[in-house]
Amino acid sequence: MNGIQYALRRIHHGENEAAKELLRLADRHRTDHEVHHVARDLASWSHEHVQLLAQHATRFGLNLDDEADTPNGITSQVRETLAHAAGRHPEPGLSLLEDLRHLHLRASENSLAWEMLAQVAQAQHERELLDLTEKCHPQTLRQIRWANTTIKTQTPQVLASL
Amino acid sequence: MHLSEKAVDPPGDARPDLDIFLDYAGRMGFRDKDGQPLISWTEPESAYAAWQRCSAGRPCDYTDISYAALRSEGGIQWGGERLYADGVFRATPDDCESYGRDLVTGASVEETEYRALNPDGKAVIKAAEFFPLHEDTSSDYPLQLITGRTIYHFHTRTKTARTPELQAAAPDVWVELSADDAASLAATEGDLVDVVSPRGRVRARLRITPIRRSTAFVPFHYGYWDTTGVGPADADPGRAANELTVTDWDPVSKQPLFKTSAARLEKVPR
Repeated sequence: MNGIQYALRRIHHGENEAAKELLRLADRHRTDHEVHHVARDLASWSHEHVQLLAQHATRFGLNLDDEADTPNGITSQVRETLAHAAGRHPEPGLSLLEDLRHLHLRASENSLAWEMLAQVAQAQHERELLDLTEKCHPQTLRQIRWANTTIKTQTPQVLASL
Repeated sequence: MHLSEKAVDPPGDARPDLDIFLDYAGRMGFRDKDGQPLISWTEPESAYAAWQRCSAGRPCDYTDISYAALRSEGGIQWGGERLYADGVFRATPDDCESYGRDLVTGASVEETEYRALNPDGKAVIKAAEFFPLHEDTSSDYPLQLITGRTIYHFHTRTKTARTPELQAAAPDVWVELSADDAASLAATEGDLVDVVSPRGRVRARLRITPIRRSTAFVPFHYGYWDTTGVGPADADPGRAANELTVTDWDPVSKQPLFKTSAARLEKVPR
């Protein structure tokens, strides 16, 4: 495996996870209408990133899935049912904060992965790959900022009322 | 800006909104840091004077627009003759009202990010990329419903429905459909139809108009204040267009998305 393949795999995996996490977040917080709709819009960016990465990957001898996985609802449902059975009822505001915190970490990791891909693309004069990172990386940064702003907006009410 | 003077005294026990707010502030005993009453104004003009002091030197400066000027001139263009004279905008980071937001996500722009735009004296033009509708048409809801206005009414008609000529010109809700779509529904002009979305239904008379195919239009002026007073009832089916639309809003302005929805039409048996 060469460096470009390594970087492509890393960001492809990360964007796939971000797409799943955003859709799961949208699904779990559908009564929080703004969060629900924005999260779905942001998931579409990660879906597109996965697709574009898969297209580019073939030139580097990699066969990556061009469609992001759908969130595995059963696993999270089982987890929540078990939590309820154990007497732990997650407070909805707190669960939103936790989901946003996870998203922030995931997208931050992706930002680093885009950075690595951009650096190796530049070093090896892969112009098209560099263009791809210049298109996608800013959207990953916007996912981070959205998570940050939403955490800022929601935290005082949620934590002050615990 | 113009001044809306009181036209008539409030009827019965009704009181002006400002009196109610002042009464509330008084009863709550709001105080400033010196222990004085927080609210120092007592009627509209002194409330406006407090707002003028508040806005002094800020981009939204109202200090030049006095009650006397408003009364003598009738209406005054806010911002003077030219708000952005010589093409200079109040965009300087130390002076601007806010650093703005991401138009798609609503995320705040941070100070360092804003400064990096080097916006001194210049307008910042922002773009937002296209996103598909959050709710598109489907086999169950094949029509694109749009909502809007009629020339005869304003908002929910609380004023215009009390003007007999305007009320008579457009007394009740209707739905517009193209001739082709009406034919496939076997419906004709004046038939009663239900406009159904995933969230509710509105019963309306059909009007056939040159509207685009697969699109239906319902005006949003009709609610329940002059029918049941509360909402749809058996004898009085739904007629509020905003009950059909998706609960969604712009993440920056918080403007609700009342304009579109997926929908279908059902002919009501005679």
